[in-house]
Amino acid sequence: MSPARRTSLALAAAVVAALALVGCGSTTQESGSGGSGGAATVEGTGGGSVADRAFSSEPTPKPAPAGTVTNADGSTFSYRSAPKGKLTLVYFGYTNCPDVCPTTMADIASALAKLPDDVADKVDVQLVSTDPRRDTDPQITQWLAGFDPSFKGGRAPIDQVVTQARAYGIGISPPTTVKGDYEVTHGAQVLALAPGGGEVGYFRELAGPEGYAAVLPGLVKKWA
Amino acid sequence: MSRTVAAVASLALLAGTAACGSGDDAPAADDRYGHAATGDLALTDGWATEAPKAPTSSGDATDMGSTMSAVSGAYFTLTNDGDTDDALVGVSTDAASQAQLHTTESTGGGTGGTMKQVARVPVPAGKSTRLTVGGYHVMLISPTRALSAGDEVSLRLRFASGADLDVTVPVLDRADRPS
Repeated sequence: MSPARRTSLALAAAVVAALALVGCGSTTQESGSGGSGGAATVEGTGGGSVADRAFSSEPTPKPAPAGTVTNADGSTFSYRSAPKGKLTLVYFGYTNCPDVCPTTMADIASALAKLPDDVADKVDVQLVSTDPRRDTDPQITQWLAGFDPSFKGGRAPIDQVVTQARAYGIGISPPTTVKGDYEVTHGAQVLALAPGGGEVGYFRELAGPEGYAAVLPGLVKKWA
Repeated sequence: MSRTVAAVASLALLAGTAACGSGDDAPAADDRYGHAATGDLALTDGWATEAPKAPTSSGDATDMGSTMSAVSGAYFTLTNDGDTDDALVGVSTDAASQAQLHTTESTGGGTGGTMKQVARVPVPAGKSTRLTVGGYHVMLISPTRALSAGDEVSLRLRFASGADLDVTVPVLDRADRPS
């Protein structure tokens, strides 16, 4: 094939592409917000709305409650002993939960996998079971390993878990049986704890991987 | 080289056709996710979560005291282009021993949530209903086989109008779910 013919084909391709773009352009504009900023501004840095939508800061850290959780790996998690040099993310959830709980864990894992090691290594993730009767140690271990084997999870008697969660403002309840259905609650938010367990803020429900990725570097720098 | 150019041209043409073809209100079907249609009902953005196979020794599915966590969620958007309200009233699949409709209800003033089984998911006339994380979802209880990313799950959806809709949805890593 001659170079000239090649050029004409390339031109044809360009024309077709341009037509396609023009043809769809109007559709795009109709559905767009029409603002001058566009998506680039929304995704921008520096107090951007991604972070604001994902995280709510406490004006002053909310003090840690007493109480401990016995983790599936045999270790003990104490809120007031949340480790130095780490930011601890605490989630109240359960493993027989197909919807919000695993999505929350998956989104945190996804964010940590994308962040640099010097940030990700300073974030601990702690699941506190809201269904300690059914969440066995092997089940917790297997469930967490599906997201990130470094995540920890454990149990305490449910009344203690409810008290611990409510101290931080998370309104879970003990599981109940309603009309034959075993109903378990989970927390909506994920707590961010500084060393010593003071809650510096919380990630809103379903903050998404982008939300965690946008907020965690700043939190780690400030608190861990 | 020229073949590449021609291919680019065809692709551009195809992309243009596909993008511009959706002039009406029907959501464009994204082939990364399951989609199907029957009559005035269309399903788009269908997918299911990964889950281990349920242990065969477990007897009663409601007594999960000794079973490993084995439950998948299926999600999609339903669009009703007709003039009559409809509702999703049932799902059947060979991929799980039970398929139930659930919703996640907010508790504790928005600081908690719990799942409730529902009998129907409304799909009003001329509207779309999105089943999504934190809202309506199909709970696939005790999968009959391990569900891993790349697998597919066949679902039959039953509607109040009597319509049945068969769809095959991909099993996805949650990170790849429709935004």
